[in-house]
Amino acid sequence: MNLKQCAPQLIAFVISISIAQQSYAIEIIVNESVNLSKISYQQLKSIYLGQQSHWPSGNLIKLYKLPSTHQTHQLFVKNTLGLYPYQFNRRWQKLVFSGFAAKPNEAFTEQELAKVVANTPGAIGYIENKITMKGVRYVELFDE
Amino acid sequence: MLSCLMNNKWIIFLLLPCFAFANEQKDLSFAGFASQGISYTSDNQFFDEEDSTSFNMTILALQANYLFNDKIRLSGQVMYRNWGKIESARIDFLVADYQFINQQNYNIGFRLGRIKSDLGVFNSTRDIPSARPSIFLPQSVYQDTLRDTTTSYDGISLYGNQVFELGRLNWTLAYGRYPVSSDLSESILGKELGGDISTENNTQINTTWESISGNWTISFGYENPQAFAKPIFDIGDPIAMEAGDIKFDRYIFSHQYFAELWDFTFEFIYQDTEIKGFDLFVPYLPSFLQQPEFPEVTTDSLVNAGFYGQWRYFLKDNLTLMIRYGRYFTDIDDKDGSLYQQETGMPAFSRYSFDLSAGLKWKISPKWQINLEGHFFEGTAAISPTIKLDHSDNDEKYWQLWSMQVSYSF
Repeated sequence: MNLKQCAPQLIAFVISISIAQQSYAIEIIVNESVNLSKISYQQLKSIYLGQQSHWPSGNLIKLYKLPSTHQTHQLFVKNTLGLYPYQFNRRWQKLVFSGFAAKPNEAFTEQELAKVVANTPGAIGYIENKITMKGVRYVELFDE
Repeated sequence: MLSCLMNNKWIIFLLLPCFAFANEQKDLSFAGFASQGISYTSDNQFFDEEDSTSFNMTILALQANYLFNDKIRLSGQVMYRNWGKIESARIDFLVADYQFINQQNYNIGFRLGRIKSDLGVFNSTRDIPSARPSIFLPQSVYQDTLRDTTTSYDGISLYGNQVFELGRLNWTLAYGRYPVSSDLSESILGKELGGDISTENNTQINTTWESISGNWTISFGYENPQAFAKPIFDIGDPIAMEAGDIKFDRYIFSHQYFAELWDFTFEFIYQDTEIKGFDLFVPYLPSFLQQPEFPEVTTDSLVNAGFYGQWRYFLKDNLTLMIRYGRYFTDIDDKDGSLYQQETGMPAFSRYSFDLSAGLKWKISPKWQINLEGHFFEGTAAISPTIKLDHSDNDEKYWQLWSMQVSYSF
């Protein structure tokens, strides 16, 4: 087998890997009013587990999520927060029904979520693939 | 139910402003649930006095969450509860929450008002069908007879969380008073005595350590609720009791482990109970007659202890199987109750209880849920008042409890 013959298959293989990887890429978005370009996994977890209600600047965090059955939401919980979806659901049931945190706002589609984050000061959300939209800032995740 | 609501008109007055504020939906949100159950008790009076089969299992709750401004969040829940012997309508919580320090790795805030007690894994959601593991919580740690001293307190709490390299620490320091009802006096004194009961301020400390990936937690909690009870007696009563104090030093240790298809919970309670007063006497005895000698109730160190292990397995996304075993002892120095029986002549099995339970939780849809469960008990300690004179209602050593509940939440 020579390289020439293999090349198309190789290229196809590389592309398929990058697509596969891309399909798991969760992007964190905030409203452009939020002065943040990077966020640690642990801080994101504090925010999405209802433990942090305000940005370090003192402004209120408006928390947005996709419906619990949405595939992107499940990927976000599993891969980004590192929790099983049932853990996430249970924790929010507990927080809401004991008055310890406010229920996150829900958007039905990723497009809708990006739009509402773009229009709500202090908002944070997540989507699967980058959408270019005015008012939305992408935040890079980092390990501490 | 209506009369209960009428007696608590203030709840309605409290709800009205919540609705009035419903201007911009983004700053106000509601949640709530309704649940109805049926239970069958083979023997003893755990649940309903009248019947072994009871429909007196209704809980309705409505809660509102309102952003007062960018800093302060208000949250409140009213609850109607008809649970066996007890019917009540109350403000479950009504709290102002303010986080005043927010940093990348830590947050600190405080809460003011009627605050849910967060002791143990399930206290804060013990009445919430979607957030509790079973219809009846493990009685070895969450005794329904003492629920007034564990539900919510009027006071203040300081709380925070901090991320470390190896994990995450959540803590709460609280000070407040548990509002109590006549239900508690019945639980402490037994219904043949009854009386007035009041509570004093209570300090609570709670810490939870969570592994960095969130797959396990350990928690430690402490509180010291205290109640003052004044039994009521009638002229015709053959026996009566003086006023007294009852003080608990309550420690709870909890551990949870989470796997993809199952989770495991272990909790241990150690409760040092100090009882002062409550001397027995014959009321209106002519002064020339001498009071007979009664067994002593006062004790400075009665240690109650209990534990349970619970395993939940997710058979399907919406179907959970629960298996649990727990033990509770009224007196850790007299685990089998034999000393107690010798001294008082009352049944030894009223001083311990073992509970083997199994249950199913089926989420039919995101809003509807059905629970089914059975409990096999040995002993009656978890259902006996702290100071109990009459065990004739709870005279079976081995007994069962079966229950089913349907819940709707939004």
